[in-house]
Amino acid sequence: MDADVVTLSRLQFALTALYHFLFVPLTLGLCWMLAIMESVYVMTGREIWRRMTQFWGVLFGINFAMGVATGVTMEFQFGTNWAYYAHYVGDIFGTPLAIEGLMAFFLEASFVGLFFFGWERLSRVQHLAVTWLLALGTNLSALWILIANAWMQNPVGAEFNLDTMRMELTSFGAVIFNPVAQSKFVHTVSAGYVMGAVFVLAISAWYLLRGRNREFAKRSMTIAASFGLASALSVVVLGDESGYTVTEHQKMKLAAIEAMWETEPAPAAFTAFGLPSLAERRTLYAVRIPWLMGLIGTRSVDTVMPGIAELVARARERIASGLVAYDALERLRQDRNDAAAQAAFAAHRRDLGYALLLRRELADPRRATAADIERAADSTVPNVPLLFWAFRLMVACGFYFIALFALAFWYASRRELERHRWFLRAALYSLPLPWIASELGWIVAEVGRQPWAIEGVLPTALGVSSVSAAQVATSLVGFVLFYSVLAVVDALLMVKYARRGPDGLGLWPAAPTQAGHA
Amino acid sequence: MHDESRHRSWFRTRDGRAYLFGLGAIVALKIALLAALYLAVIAPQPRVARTPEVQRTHLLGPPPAAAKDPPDGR
Repeated sequence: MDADVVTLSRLQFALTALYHFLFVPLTLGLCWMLAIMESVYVMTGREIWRRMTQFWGVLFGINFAMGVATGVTMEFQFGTNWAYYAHYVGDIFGTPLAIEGLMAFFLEASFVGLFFFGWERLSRVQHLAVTWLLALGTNLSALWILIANAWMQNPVGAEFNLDTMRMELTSFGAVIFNPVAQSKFVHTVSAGYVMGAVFVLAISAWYLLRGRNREFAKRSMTIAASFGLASALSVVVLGDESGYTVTEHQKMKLAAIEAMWETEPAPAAFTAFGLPSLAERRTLYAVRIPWLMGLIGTRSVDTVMPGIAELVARARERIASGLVAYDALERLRQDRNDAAAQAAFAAHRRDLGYALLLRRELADPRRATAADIERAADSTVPNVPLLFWAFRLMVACGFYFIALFALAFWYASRRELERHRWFLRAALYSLPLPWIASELGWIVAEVGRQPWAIEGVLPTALGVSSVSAAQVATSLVGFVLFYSVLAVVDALLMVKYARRGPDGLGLWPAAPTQAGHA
Repeated sequence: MHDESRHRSWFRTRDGRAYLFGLGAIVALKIALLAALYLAVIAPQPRVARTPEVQRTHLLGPPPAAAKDPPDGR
């Protein structure tokens, strides 16, 4: 395996995925806010709500247009950079991706057109139905993508076929109802709802600070505060659920997130702060809260959570077991009817992926020494300091959003939004935080899965294509340049239309006296 | 706000049309770039052989008789 190709391919996929996810969550959140605003318009008949839907729809459209197709390059990469991955698990992984394209994205794309062009051609109720279906389609897109991703974290409903040498689908239902997919979906979309709410809150706060579009902004902030508070509470609760599924299915990821080097007596303590040291395999200056990790991770006081050292020891055992499966496969290569080999493979097949960890360094893993096995077992530990800090910063953002929206809700309820200028500034400066939190969330999810492309089944290094590092580096540079241009254009367009505002666009009169129309 | 324009969609105004044209152009440009990328760079690449034997060799290494380890056993 060419380590450079693996590293560059991972970097390229990570960059395109992180870039794509700058747009996705805002679309996920804003579309529901448009649906809520338009529902108020249909129920009350007040023109200002229609105009609010159109104004925020303008910003939604920019985000949608700039984001659309940025995910397609990731699908290209499954073929160009991850050909062996695509062949090995394409039967399973490709299915939800295809459904996403054929069903959810078409639904979303059709209704986004009707949303913009249907205002004068559809009745109020029909247009409202379009907006709700747009939101539904957008969220269904996310569902299928997250089902595919969750299968990489917890590969259920599939098994290895000896004859085709690939993983094949055995239960589509198991893939759809994968518990990791369910928790990941609700956590991810609720994070998108928070982003949509912060976006509306921050831009509205800017208008209030400038004394512009006051009636427009106050109503927008009220919607954002209510929707945002519900979403921020949900994202934390559902994030806890997501963490619980990690405890069950990806114990090493959880141990790495918590920098839990050794197994502790139940219930384990939570390390609120510390400097995890990979070299010393301990956390320096740790500030620990007794019991908390055990209670969060296992929801009990007597379930032990294994530490990294214990999980490495388990990986060592699974590598040994996997080598039996590997040896059986080699024997079956010589004689497909070798009954003893078939029996050995059947008994150890679930650990085959662990033996494949040795393939990164050895042509024939059966020749592995104890030191080789030790290194392979150690390689199952992901980047602990990165996970530890990415997770904590993400969680800190989550709790900050609860406080921000709780205050916004309180001030909006008391009609005091304009009185607290410090709060308006805080809301404005909070604008980048949901993006930071979302990207950190994906870093936790994906770095935490390493060294696996498919958890326990296929090491990442075995999934890459037979391409040169120079080829990957060239396409990586191309993607960085192209996506940077898109990001700059997106930011400029967003700023341009937000600055013009409802008054500048002629959507709503600037004069406060016109508020009477509402 | 004048009555006649009161219920007019902003997307039908001059500004709105320019905005929608701009978005449409961005999407069309991106699709054209992606198509060009695919046709010029990706499509001409040789496809990976997908026979079970190729996959077997990729996962398990060459058949035992053909396997050659470096001198240090790696």
